[in-house]
Amino acid sequence: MNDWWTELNVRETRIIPVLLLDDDGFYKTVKFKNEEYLGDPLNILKIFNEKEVDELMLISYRASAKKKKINFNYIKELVSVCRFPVTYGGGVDSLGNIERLFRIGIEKVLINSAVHSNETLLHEAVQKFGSSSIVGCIEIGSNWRGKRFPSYNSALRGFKWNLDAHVELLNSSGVGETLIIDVKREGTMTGLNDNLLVSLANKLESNVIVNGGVGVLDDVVKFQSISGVKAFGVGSLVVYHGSNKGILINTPSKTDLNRLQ
Amino acid sequence: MVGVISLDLGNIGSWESLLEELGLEYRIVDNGSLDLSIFDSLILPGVGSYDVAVRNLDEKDLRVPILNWVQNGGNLIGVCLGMQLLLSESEEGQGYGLGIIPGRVLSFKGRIEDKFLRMGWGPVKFCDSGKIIDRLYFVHGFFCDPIDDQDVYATAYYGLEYAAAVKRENIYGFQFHPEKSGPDGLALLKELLI
Repeated sequence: MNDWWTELNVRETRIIPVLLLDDDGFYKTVKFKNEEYLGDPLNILKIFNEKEVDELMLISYRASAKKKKINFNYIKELVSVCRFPVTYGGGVDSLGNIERLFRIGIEKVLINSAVHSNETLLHEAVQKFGSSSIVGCIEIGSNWRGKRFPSYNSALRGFKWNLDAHVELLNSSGVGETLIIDVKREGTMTGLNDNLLVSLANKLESNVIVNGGVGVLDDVVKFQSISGVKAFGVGSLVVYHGSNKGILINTPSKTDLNRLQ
Repeated sequence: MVGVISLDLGNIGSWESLLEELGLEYRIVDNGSLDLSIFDSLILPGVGSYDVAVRNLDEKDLRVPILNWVQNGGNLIGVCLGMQLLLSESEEGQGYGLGIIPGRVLSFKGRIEDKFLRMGWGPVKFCDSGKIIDRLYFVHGFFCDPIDDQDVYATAYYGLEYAAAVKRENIYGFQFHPEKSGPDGLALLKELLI
């Protein structure tokens, strides 16, 4: 067999828009605060269709904190226009939720804060739905002394594990992919926290998606050169344009994307 | 009319919206009592673990109707786990697949240096025509290894070259997700369904 694939310049890296969903639309936040409404969700998703994004994450970012039920009908309406893979996260706390999300067209389901009250949920979900369909999550917060720990929903309450224990839980669950969210840099466009994220990525056995701080594509290129990570969750990069942060749904050009591994 | 087989695991909603976009009538097939002769094609989508899918296939009494459908020359398209179910068995579980295409489903784990789960976009090359489609979406940790090379319809590369698609008469299996692969995936499905 000839190595036909070596002759193609294949980009393995995925740039994944992370859209924060609330009752009536998509929002962009800074450290999960100061919400800014982005516009009509269906229009935004149709633009991402035209741009042929790699994947997309829909996160109902207040669902768990507010104990809100998943709005399956609304999510079905949104995902029905997407011709790319969609991951959903937010308020997922049972196998029944996950099954219903797949049924309405979601490809991957992210389980986050539910693991704090149900430590076996991740493992059970992987056993039933396969490691490629379930995404784990670590939201990294910090306390007033600067010590890092897994938070959830940007709240500094309710946590009971340290970071290593959380990593161990994810590794033992067999989950295929983990989203790492650096809460302190979310929406700041100040670049990725190299030390924190590389150290965590190396500890995780799964693939990782890093999120929090990407302002320009060079942030990804730089981080990739030291980490080898191949998936990046981005928000500001694809919803803002210019130094004044005017809302404009966009994606990096193909020429720029070809700079990635 | 297209029949979409539901094993209570697959991303059925994606197929519903896609078939609606293509203007095709469809019905969900979730038990063996439905008369399959009303369909022009059957799709076997797949998200989930192998053993759960095999168990649901049998609990829903779908195995025999699908095998009869194939024996009578029906069109069947298996996607991702659905493709893997076309083979005889899998390293992921203990259950038996449909055995329509003899072979085993193997794990990437221990066979490649990269992470065991392939996730993302990549090209495939079709064996007969040499045609390359360069942007299709993959998400899987196991891959099909048919016994007969003639069953390999297209290949892909992830640490090793493997079957990205299989074909035997009217039976197709795609390891990638054509329903989520943008224009290229849509074009591929149009060829088979319209």
